[in-house]
Amino acid sequence: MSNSEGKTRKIALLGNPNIGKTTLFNVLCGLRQKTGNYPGVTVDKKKGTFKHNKERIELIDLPGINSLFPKSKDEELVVDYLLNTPKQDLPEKIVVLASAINLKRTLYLLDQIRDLNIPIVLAINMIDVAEKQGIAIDIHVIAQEFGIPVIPISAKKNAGIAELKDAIIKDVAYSTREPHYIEEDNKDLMQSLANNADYASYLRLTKGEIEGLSSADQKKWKTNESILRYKFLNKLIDQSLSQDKSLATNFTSKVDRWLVHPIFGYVIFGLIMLLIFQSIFWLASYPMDWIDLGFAWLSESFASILPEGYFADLITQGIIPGIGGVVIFVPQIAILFFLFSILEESGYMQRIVYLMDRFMQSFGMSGKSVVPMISGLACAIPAIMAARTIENNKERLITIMITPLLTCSARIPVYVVIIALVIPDEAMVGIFNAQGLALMGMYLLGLLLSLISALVFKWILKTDFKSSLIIDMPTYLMPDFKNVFISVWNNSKAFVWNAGKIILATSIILFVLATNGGDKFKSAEEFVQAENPHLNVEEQEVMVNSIELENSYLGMIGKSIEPTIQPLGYDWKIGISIITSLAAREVFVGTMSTIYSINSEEEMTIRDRLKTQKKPNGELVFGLATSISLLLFYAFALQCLSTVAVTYKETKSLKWTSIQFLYMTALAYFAALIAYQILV
Amino acid sequence: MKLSELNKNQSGEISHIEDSQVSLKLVEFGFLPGAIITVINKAPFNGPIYVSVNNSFLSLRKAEAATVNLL
Repeated sequence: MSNSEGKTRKIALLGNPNIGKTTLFNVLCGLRQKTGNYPGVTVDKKKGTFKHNKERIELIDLPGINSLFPKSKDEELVVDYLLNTPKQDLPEKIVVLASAINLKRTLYLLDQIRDLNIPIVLAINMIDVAEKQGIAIDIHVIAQEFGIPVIPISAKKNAGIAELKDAIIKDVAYSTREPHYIEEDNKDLMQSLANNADYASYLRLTKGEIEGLSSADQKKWKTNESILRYKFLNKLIDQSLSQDKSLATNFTSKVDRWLVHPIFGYVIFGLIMLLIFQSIFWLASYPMDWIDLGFAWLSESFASILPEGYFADLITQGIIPGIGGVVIFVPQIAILFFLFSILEESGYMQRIVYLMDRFMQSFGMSGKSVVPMISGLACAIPAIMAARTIENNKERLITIMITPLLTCSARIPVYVVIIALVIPDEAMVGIFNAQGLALMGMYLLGLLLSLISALVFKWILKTDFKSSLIIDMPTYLMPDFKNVFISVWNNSKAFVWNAGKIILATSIILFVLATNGGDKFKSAEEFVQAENPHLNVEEQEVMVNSIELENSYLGMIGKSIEPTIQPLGYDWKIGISIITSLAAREVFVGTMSTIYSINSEEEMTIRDRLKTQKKPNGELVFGLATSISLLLFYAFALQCLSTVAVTYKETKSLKWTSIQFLYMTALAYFAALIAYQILV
Repeated sequence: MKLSELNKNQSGEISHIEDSQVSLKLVEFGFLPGAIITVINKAPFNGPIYVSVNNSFLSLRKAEAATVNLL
């Protein structure tokens, strides 16, 4: 049986976490992949495509799992997908990835999947690393025992990939095998309870989806199954694997002597975090300056090319500064994701879980909460989804509730601009750049508040279930730079695209609202000429501009909320920016630069423009008190619609979604209020 | 003797796993009777224990290690 040209084959990729599944996916699909809408790690169903021998293959990358007995949300998703009864969207074949350096454990998952009787290709990864460690694997024994094609590969070295692709598109005869996962005595019972004797029914029975077994029995069946499967695998490994112990290097253990050392382990972790913050600020400052100047130049050139008028103003004062406000933060986001994916790829992330578990438990969370919290430094959306790996519901809920308090990359634009207004570029504290330290201070503030909130939630929430932590400590591996590059590319693209869409739309709407208004707006010119005839033309023009903006529709909106935000030290212009950034906080900078560009002839960079803004009484608009108050407001407020949506999706609870939004908003308002009133 | 009582760099052979919420997961991760287990590291303040068993490297909390009985 062969497939005709033009048909798409649907294949799923499945395997344990941390054995190179993402690398294989990237090798097969390259950049032809969709991660869903959000930047971050593999948390949703990720799809990619590739062609082989004129056939089109759609590859679904499923989250890494250890077993078909789901214990976390992540595992539940995969099992539900494989067992879904209308058999919707099911793959025609599964590529199961195992690891040559941990063969027995990874074959355990294969052994379970084999009993689902879906066609399988087994790819054994890191065959090159295993060879160096003196591990020899007899592929034929494994292929024969499971009755499936087995391909040794090295995803990183691109070895065996062509053979794997051949096996993926080749149709092979497939037979069910004699079950070795159930004890003889239980076979009849299962047949009578489930009306069926296949493994899918067995899984439903032990999950309680099919009634008949007490929960103690469900567990007993599952534990027996694991023991029986390991019995089978022990025999298979004896026959198929041999190791020359003299070649086994224990690189990972040697490195771990330092990296998980009770003192140096934490020192190294702290230094790595410090390095990340310094590079976000200092390393990124060069490309950011170029981008800033580039967009100012772009506005100028368009102003000189386009015929003067409303359209030219829309482009040079609305759209270009608005987009510039987003693009400028790409270097920082790219650096952040670059460093994160190195932490993930190398295997160090799991050491952080190990080191931090005891500490996190004091706050009602698990060591696993560290991974969502660290990815929360990039973006809260994938971070909240990454909390799926936490088995205990209370720990998971607390992690979801507090993650948006951590400084995500969308806050960087706001922080950077405001910090630069109060701290000069050249200021140094010792060997550190003062702005970098201030930014780090904001990160620490977010972290501190997230931990305090966690304590409060820990105290409020009750739970009957004891939490647990059993995790893999993967072998250290050199990060694969293709993976790192793809992660940086996908995430930066998603940031520019998602934020860019909103910002482009808001900057056009803002411009229209700012350049139209009621009677007072229309008669501004006559009013100024009549009231101030002694002023020269230029002075009159400045006055007209400010009266126009104040009486535009945009000005009216800002003025209407001014009483609420005045105690925080904000004027109506900042008020407009807060309103527009309710949906996404990074819009703040774009809005500010659009508002302050309107009716200004000079082309300046965003920073310089804000720095020179003065109140009617001659004081700087962005003085210390207002700037600190704004920093606190943006640190705590949940100004991100996508986060609200993802919290609802993940908790399925309107109550917790509302609690999250309300507690963060209250925190933001009162922190900003207190800070301003003390400082002013 | 229990796994939680082993010191760093000590090994033992698993005799049985006590029934608990995590016993199934332990078995699935290769904590089987007869397997040799070695403590590689212990996190401070009674934190998790880092072990090697069956050629895999894993870590687990002290409370879970207390359910693993050794010969």
